[in-house]
Formats: sequence, structure tokens, C-alpha cells
Amino acid sequence: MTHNTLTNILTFRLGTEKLAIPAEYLREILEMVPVTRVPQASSFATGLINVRGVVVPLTDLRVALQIPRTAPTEDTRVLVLEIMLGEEKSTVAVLADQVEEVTTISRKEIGDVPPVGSPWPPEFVLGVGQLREEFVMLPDLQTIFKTYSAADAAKEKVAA
Amino acid sequence: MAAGKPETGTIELSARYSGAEVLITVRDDGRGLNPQKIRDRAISRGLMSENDDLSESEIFRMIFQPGFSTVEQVTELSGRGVGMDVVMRTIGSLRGEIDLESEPGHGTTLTLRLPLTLAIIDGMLVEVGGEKYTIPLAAVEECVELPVLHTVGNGGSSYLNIRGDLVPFVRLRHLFETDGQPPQHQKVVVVSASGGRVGLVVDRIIGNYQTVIKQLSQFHAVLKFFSGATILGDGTVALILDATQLVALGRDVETRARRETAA
Repeated sequence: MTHNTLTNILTFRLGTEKLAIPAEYLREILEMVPVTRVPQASSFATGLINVRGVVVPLTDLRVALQIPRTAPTEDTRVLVLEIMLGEEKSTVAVLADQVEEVTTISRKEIGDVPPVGSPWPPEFVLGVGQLREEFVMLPDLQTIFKTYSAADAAKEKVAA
Repeated sequence: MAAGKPETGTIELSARYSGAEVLITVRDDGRGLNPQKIRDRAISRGLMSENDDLSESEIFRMIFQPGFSTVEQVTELSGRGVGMDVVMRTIGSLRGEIDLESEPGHGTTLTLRLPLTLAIIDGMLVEVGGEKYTIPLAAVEECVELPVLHTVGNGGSSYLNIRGDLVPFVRLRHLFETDGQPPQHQKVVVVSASGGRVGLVVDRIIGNYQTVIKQLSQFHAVLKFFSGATILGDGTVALILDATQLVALGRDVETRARRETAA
């Protein structure tokens, strides 16, 4: 029955971490494109890019996952994702330090995040899996995007 | 002519804003749609049955069906039932809607309703620290050189004397935390909105462009100084400044300055 629980994923790196997202979210992968800075925006979504005539926010999961940020290199890619946020299908771009492969992972290989000693904010992680002897982290994109979207960001400001 | 009409027909085009939509109205003074004729044609094409009790507006909507035509004489260009279908599909793909009104003998009015995200405005493109921003041209009153008196200093704002009126100004370099040094001759774009004025200090005025407004995502909707974004000719994205919010900022600056003077 394990065949039924295989999930297609895209793996990529942020800093030294290996991450995976469902391949079904992926619309395209772009090389680094010109980014328009948005003044006063949160460090999670500092810019806008043009993806085939559509203005798409460029986000940095490293901010949410507390992974140290480095300057873009020639391996840096932009993952253009289509994802349901609330009721709406949104196009969001995500920075990746390096894109690796599209592969499958079986659900039973994905475990919970160890409650102690996890380097990432646990609410932003769906689980941790193993892929060829290496740990791969599955970020909770919905929760991350929701947290940094307008309504919540405004609340954050009020609190600050 | 047949219906006692003048020989020359008139087609009237108009466009206006309505809330978050742009309404484009196309009105003619032709003979109008004939509901009976459309109904007969729809029945013969199997689009409705004889017993269907459709309202007039539902019957009128039949003209948007692909291949629908009531014309008996088809020419190479006209009468093949393609045009309205294409209009409907195009507007649909832009997430718009079409309203149709018609009065037999008096003409037809089509109203295309498009969401404002696809609205086009005239914008003035300016540069601040190598970054480009668009200011809605409708809000721009005039552009002046920043007087030498104000070129130094990095303070948030101050006043400008424009023909005897004091206008508060805001340095966009400061507001947007832009890197680098300003050029020797900075410009001030005076914008007005909701009865107030504010001068926006920029590095350079690039020119006027037609701008398609794109909405900001939920990550940036909270930023009040930007009302949207647009894609420039070179493919890069430029933010559109919100004149109303910037005027309000200028007003705050003014109030604060007054309080300080009073103290």
C-alpha cells in the first residue's frame, strides 16, 4: 500500500538545509530576475518580480525558518508557486539557494519535528523526512504565507 | 430610412470609474435588439426550447453564443456570429462582465465592467536612488526644482514656498530608506489629493507613461504608501504611489511642525 502514499516533491537548498515542497505547487523555476524592492515591507517579502507580465511577490523562506541569509549566487533560483491561500489561488515566488530535483517521498518516511532541539520554528514545519540518508524538511507554506500576509502583518505592527 | 432614423448612425463611447471597477459603455442609436427574432433563432438552433420562459435580458444574452447570428445575409466580414462571442470571452478572461440593454428602435447599450486591477492610468515615472516609482498623473500639479536651501539635510520634511503658499514636502529617499547620495539637483513633484498638497522630493523625473495597475499581493497590501504596481517597458516592476496617503503624511508633518513652532 505504500505506493498510494508516495508524494511528488521538489527538493532545494536554503543555506545548508535541504527542503522539500509538493511538486504540484510548482509552476516554474526561474533564474534570478531583476527584483523591485518594496520599501517598508517585511524582510520576508521584500520585493516584486515580473513573471510573464504578472507582478508576483518574492518571498524568502529563510526569514520565516530562521536560516541565515546569504547573497544570491549563480545557483540561486526563483520558484514560482501556485498555492491556495485562504479562498484564493495565489502566485508567490520563493527564493532557493539551489534547486536539486523532483523526486518522490513516501508519507510514512515523513515524521514529526522533534519538539526539542529543532532549529526551525515548529509551527512552520509540516514534518521532516529522510531521503537517501539525508534529512529533508517540509515547510508549512500555507501557515508561513498566512502569517506574513497583510492581516497578520498588521497585527504584528500593532503589537510592536 | 426604414425606421425613420437619420442616415448617419452614432456610436458613443464613454468610460468611468465605479468603485473598484471601470465601466466602459458603448452605445449606438441603431434599431436595437429584436427579442422575438433572437428567441426564434435560439429555438431553431436548439439553445432554448419553445416552452422556456426566458426574460428579455436572458434572451439578449443569446447574442454572446458562439456562431449566433440573426442576420439572413452573411458577408465575408459580418454576420457570422463571431464578434460578440469573442468580446464575451475576452472580457471574461479579464474577470470582467458585460451588461446589455436594448430598446427596440432606440439602440443598444453595452457596458463592459472591468476590475480596477486592469485599469490603465496615466502615470509620471520618477527615480529615487536608482529605483523607479509611478505617480498617478491626475494627482500631479506641478514639478519644480528643489531650492538649494533644502538640498542639504536629510530630515523627513520641510516646507516649500510655491508662489506664496507653503507646501510641506517629503523626501522619498528618506521615507523609502534609499541608499546612496542624492544628485545635486533634486526635483519636487507637487501632488494634490483630497484637498491637500504635498511635495515629493525625487532624484529625477523620467516622463509620463500609460500604466496598467496591478494589485499588490496580500504580503504588501498593508503598505499604505503604495496603491499598486506596474510593469515598465523594460520588464521591471515599479510601484505606484498613493497620492492620498502621501498628502495625509504631508499633513501630519505640517501639524507636527506647527506644534513644534508653538512649543
